[in-house]
Amino acid sequence: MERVKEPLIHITRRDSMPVWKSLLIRFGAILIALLISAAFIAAMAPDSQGFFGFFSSLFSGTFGGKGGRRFWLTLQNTALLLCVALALVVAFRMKFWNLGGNGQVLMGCLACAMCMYYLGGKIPNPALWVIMLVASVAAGAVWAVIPAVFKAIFNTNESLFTLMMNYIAMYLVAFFISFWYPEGTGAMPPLSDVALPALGNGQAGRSLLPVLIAVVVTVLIFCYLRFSKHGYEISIVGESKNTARYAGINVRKVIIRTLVLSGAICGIVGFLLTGSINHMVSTTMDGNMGFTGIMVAWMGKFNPLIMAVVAFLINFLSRGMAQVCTDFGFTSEALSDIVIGLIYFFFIGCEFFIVYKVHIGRRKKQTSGLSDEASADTVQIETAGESDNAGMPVEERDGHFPQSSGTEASSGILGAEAVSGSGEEPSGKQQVREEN
Amino acid sequence: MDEQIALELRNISKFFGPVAANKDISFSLKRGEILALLGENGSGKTTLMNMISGIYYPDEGQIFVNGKPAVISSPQDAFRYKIGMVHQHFKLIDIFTAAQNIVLGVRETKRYSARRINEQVGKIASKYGFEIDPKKKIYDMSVSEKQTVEIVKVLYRGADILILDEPTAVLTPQETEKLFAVMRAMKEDGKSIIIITHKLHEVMAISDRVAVLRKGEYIGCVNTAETSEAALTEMMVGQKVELNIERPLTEHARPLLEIRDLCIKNDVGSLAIEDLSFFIRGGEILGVAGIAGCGQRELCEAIAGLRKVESGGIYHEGESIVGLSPKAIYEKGVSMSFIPEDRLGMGLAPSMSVTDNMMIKNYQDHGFGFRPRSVDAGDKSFRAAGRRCVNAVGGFFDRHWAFVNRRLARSEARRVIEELDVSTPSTETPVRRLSGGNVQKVLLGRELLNKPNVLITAYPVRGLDINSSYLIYDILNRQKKAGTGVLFIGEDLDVMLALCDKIMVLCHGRLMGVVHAEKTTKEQLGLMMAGALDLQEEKGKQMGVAKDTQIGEGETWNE
Repeated sequence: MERVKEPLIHITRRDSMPVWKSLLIRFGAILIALLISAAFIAAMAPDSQGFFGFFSSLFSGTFGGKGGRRFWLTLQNTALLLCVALALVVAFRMKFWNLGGNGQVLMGCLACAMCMYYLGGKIPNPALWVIMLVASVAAGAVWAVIPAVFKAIFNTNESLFTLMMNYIAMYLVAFFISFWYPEGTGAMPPLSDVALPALGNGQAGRSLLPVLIAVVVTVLIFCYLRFSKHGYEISIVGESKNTARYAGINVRKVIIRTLVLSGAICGIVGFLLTGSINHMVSTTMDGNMGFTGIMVAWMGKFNPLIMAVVAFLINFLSRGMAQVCTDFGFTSEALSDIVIGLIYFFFIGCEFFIVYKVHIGRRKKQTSGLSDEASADTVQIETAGESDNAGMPVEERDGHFPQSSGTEASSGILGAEAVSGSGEEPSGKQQVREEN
Repeated sequence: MDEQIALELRNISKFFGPVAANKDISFSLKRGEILALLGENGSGKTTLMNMISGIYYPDEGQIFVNGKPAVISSPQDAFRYKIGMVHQHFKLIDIFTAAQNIVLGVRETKRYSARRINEQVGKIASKYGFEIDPKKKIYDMSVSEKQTVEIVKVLYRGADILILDEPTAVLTPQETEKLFAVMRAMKEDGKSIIIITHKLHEVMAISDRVAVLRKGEYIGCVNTAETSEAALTEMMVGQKVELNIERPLTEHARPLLEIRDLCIKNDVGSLAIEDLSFFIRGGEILGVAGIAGCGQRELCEAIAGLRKVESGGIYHEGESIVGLSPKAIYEKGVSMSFIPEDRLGMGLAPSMSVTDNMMIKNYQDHGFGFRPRSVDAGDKSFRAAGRRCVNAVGGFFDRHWAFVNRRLARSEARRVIEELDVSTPSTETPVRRLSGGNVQKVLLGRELLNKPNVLITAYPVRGLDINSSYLIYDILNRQKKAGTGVLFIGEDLDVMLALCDKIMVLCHGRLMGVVHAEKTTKEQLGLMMAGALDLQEEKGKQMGVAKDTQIGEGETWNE
């Protein structure tokens, strides 16, 4: 037969991939990214601490230092970030794009600080701590429930609403600081004598409470989403509001109830930040976790256990890169951002190779195909493709994900994959071809 | 090479992993010809068409366009070869106008000018007889209008070979006729068309030749004039299929569901159903005929408790169910399975597993499996008191149990899969990965689990192939024999005439009459659907009118 020019790269979709293989790909991607980063940093470094110096610095950011201080700090930050991400995931499962994590955390901080400021010293400390916790949780919940009520009743856009609530929270904090300390520099002094004491000595003692709370919250949220009736209702409302209505679910109630939970968890983070860690409040206390948490949620495929790993990875990288910058004498943060971006790029990009198979060169006859494990798991490929599109409810198509986390994280394959909930197939384009 | 051949496929194969979606397929399309591509669900029709339109690339074989080998590796390539595909699921942008959607993706050197495009669209429309308003936004359009936009879009790009993937699945008979007229006009103009459809009578009506696929393999190509529906079915299925739908006779029981002077509003607040009165007996299938959007959806939703009833009554076994929650109505035994145009929108959660979809209706009742201890009423012993205590506490937690019972749901899923012969790899497969027929079986099966005595089923065979359709008819007939009253909202009049006992015709939300299916004709139903014949006005003498359009004196339920 007459041969004509054919595309060089030829991409087909995989049916499935064994878990060990996909894990291998992910680890491989991170390894390649780290090697490239190391080479990059080694080239940029003023004196030649070299290729391996990068690795030792990177790891010492988390595992170095005296008495495990850095390790516990990383763990504490991981715990806080994970809690915020879990709060978001509860709403995301319902396709309620809660971008107001920052605001909800800040309101938790503010409520906690208010209790400390007004009640500190007037009532016994243990009673104050309980009030602080309750107030923080309530403040976070209220901040999340306002957009939820509007969404439930007027179907307003929750992304914009929650986003705007962040600014209100930020300026409320600024207002109260200048209201309480009019002569100050705009910073609040720590109210350490009424704050929660450390649970032990050193950084470990200070970080123990957030870590314990994060563990409990993770387990609870995992069970809540996976096994409870509420979690089931959340998934159905996220899938299709019509179906939910038909199942006898009160959609408004579920939206409001879920956002109360989401905001409450953010409130707990606020309580930890102000009441236990910093003993004061500032406008940047949220640490932008409301947005980093979005990334954690998507990269963790909405699964609390994977999210815990991702949250640790993110903190490991940021602390590690800070250490690299210090050790190598870089004054600009840009270098660290470039490397972190590079690693994210590889980590997220490798998802493509998990979902698709790339053939290079001319077509050859495929007899056995790619996966022996993918035995009879294929139901009528043709219609599977069709229903990919069919299965996308309007909410899903409209509920595009705003990219505010500042990285390329939430887009593309991973993003689409997480939308589908089960994370098995990206519901994105059917177009599986590239031409060279 | 023959000058008349517009498109030729030679030995085309496509594999998805170990599965061959298409195997060694060769056929050709002549210029100015309408070729019907026939095959059951999953026989590889869409895959094949996707290869022609550049979405997939064949693993083996060669495509020829106008006698020359062609490499179609992207939709842009297909567009260069003047091949255009209209997908089953429209790929339009909702907030754009028709014209904007039509020019989207076309690279033109001229500046974008709404007027010029509107003119060009108008020109194409008048040439082939389309009705299209270029300035209308997509979200304001009906399904058939959206389809028109899709077709005009391909024509605007200058396509000579058009591929229509199940274009009639979502159209009414009238809209289908319109589409066929347009297709004939295009054929006159020398365009070649491949149409994918499941409806044999449409194949017979529109096509010149028919190519048949079965399980990814090419079976053959026949001239439409020289074949019959039965012969085509045999080619498609591989064995002789009885095309007659059974209508078993059953003892008609008392009316189970009665609708009296029902008025319902639609989403925009105008009356969708106006003064509708009818009833369903046990052991009968009552068909509802009417053109799309004349109140069927609203009627279903009102009966299922999803839509507010403005006035009138709905009585189930003599009890009013107006104002009850959907769950309460479901528990009384009124089940609804509504297959919307996109199949998955209502009643199912597409990304969730078969198991999770099974428990949508009853997860709220899941407990932790508490079994009350037996206690004699008169027993006053300490032990009995203890047991009563355990029963009270256990019962309370069982009723207010916070967790779902997936084990129970999984066994239900297994039952449905087994009894309705659903083909799925496992109970944990997401529903959207199943083929259309299996999705519909899952939905219907879940409704049947409740052992309903009134089953409302809307468009249950939408988009299904022959075998699956007959399976669904069989399920409905089994329900009928078991004494269930079935309300069957259908599209295909031939099917309704064969399957239903009585047919109720709606026109713009008004009842035009109820007729006995075996005594009426398609023409009469057509007239009633169009509103030209109103049996409610002139009672009595008409042919085939069901006597019990109004409920009989002796049978009326007392309120």
